Amino acid sequence: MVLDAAFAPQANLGLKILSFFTTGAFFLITLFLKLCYSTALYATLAEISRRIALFRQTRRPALRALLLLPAVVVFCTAILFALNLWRVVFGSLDLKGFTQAFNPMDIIWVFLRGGFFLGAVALGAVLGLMVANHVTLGRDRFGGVLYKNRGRYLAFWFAAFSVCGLFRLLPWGFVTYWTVWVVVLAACLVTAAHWSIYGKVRSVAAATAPGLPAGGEIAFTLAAREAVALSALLRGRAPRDAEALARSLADPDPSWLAHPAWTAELRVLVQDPSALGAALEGLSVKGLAAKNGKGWSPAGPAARLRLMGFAETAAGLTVRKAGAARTVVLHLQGPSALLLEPGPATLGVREFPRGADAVAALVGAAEGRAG
Amino acid sequence: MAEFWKDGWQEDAFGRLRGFIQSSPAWYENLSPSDVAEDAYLLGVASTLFLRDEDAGAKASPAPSAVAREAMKLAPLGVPPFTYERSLVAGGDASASYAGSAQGRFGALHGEAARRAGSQDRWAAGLDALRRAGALRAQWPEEEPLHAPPVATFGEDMRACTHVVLRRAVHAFKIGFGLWGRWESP
Amino acid sequence: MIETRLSLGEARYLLQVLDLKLAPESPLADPLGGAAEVPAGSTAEAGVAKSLTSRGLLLSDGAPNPFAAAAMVWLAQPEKAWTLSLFGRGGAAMVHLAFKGGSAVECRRDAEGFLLRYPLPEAEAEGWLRLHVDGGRHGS
Repeated sequence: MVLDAAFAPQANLGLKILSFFTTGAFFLITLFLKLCYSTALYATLAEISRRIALFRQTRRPALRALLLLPAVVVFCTAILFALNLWRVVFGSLDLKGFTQAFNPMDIIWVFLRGGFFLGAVALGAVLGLMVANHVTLGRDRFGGVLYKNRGRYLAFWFAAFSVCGLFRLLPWGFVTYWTVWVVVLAACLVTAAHWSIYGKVRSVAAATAPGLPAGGEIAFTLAAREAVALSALLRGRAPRDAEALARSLADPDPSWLAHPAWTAELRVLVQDPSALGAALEGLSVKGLAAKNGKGWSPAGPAARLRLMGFAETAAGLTVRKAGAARTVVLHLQGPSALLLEPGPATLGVREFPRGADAVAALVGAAEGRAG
Repeated sequence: MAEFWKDGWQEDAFGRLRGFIQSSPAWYENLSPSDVAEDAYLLGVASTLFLRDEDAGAKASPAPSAVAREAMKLAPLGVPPFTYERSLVAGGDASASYAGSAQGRFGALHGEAARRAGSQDRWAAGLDALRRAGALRAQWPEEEPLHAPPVATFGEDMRACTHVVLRRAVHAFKIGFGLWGRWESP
Repeated sequence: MIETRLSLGEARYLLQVLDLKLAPESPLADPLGGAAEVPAGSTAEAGVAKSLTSRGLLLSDGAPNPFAAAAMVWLAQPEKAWTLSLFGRGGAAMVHLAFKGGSAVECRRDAEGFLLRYPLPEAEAEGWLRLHVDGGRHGS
């Protein structure tokens, strides 16, 4: 044990010089690692935020993005933790301390510190599962998986990581200890939360769609105003009165407007309660809406549409011929298929019996062939 | 792409669409805004008209995940083989395909190509150029659908994440040695 | 079957060389309708011509490859055009099919420009659609 000998009080001059160069080399290597990783870690975080912005602009993130984030978090935290490992486990105990007689209190402190860090791991895991439990998960309109939250736990990890990095640069050892504890807690939280969310999202992504529930056949044509009113009606589950529907329509969501020409109809419905009432009455005459004491709710075929909830695939075929264009949209969900024909004034919705050739019908409808 | 941008209704359509995209979790892959503006606006919205759920959490009942991958696999299209596919091999017989195309036996597009070629030599030169560029295929290519890619397995996801992290670890050393961007771009 | 990539500038240049006007049905009308022509004799033209030659779309004498020329005729002046937009778990995709005289050319827009596949007999168009929509699962 050269090092032990080097720290012995009776070491000779040669050993003292050797120990000087050894500790100098260790210092330089550690400094190099700190420089490398502190730069790389922040570059990684900048890269992640750039990619998130890119995802928002162009394409849907892959499922594995959910795993990538905790992988990077764990990696960053592990580097920072490793650089602080000696101090946070052994405290002020240095190499020289080991060459002398052990102080029993030091040993107790080492175990206390270790246990305290295990506490951070356990607490982080529990908090992470609780956070994941509150992340709502649903399907988006195209059958994709939607995962929404404000990411406060990521902000918590990022803040803890930054503060810890800052104190790591400063010479206050006892502050470093506590900040590292918080970083370990935050990293375990993020890891547990994302692990759980990944599992939930994965189970939804791999699920097979059940298709339309049994019930009355869906085959109707709606005027533009009726279609807009029905879309508002189908947004929620509980019955809603006309005021609540108008408020729902006033919430600016352009995706309601199946045809650009319907924007004006939407404005009329929002501003004129009697127009909305007339549209709802029109729906109820067609057996698509029903009014009870609590308000309006979808009925008959519309209630079946409400239960379907999402489509696995939506395929739109636009045929342009001789200056005219016609768009027809086909929804596929499991064994069920729906055909929608949006026009400037009307919207047609038609269900296919199971086993029917929906793709041939899509081509036929878009080409304007009969049948 | 800005030089291909048109003023007028497209600009307006994009403005309307932008709100839709930003408020929507549908991410349009590899499509320019002008591509989605007209048709996808109409389509995307129509397709969602009845499929909205404000009460989040509507989840499909978990069903057996053993979706038959074989059934999902794309079958090659039944496009009848064209005579010029013999020319996939250098020195293949181009004369028969030229004569047949010029007589209209291989469809209107080949007829037009033969008419534009004008002679068998130019027809053969055209085929040869395409073959050298690797543009000739013996059959319609199979590909995964962009809008519904297969779900990766957990192992594949973990491996991909591990690779990313390891690459980052190497990048850290590159930064230290001042080699950022010199070995490979990050 | 022929599969080639074409950047926006290259497509514009081919239309120019072949003296083709874009019909309103054309899948190229939207991205290329307002595009400026590639100036003759410029370095831009030389670059476009070089990359087209390397892709086999221009012959060694600088004339357009007859196959590419025919495909551009189909895309610029189709009798009928299909636009298939697909939405699903992975996002969105859009593919065009330009028909003329019983043959069709597939045109897909991507970040770099266009991906062309041709020829597809019109009789196969429904099968083509079926493959794209549901991988052929819904029978024929």
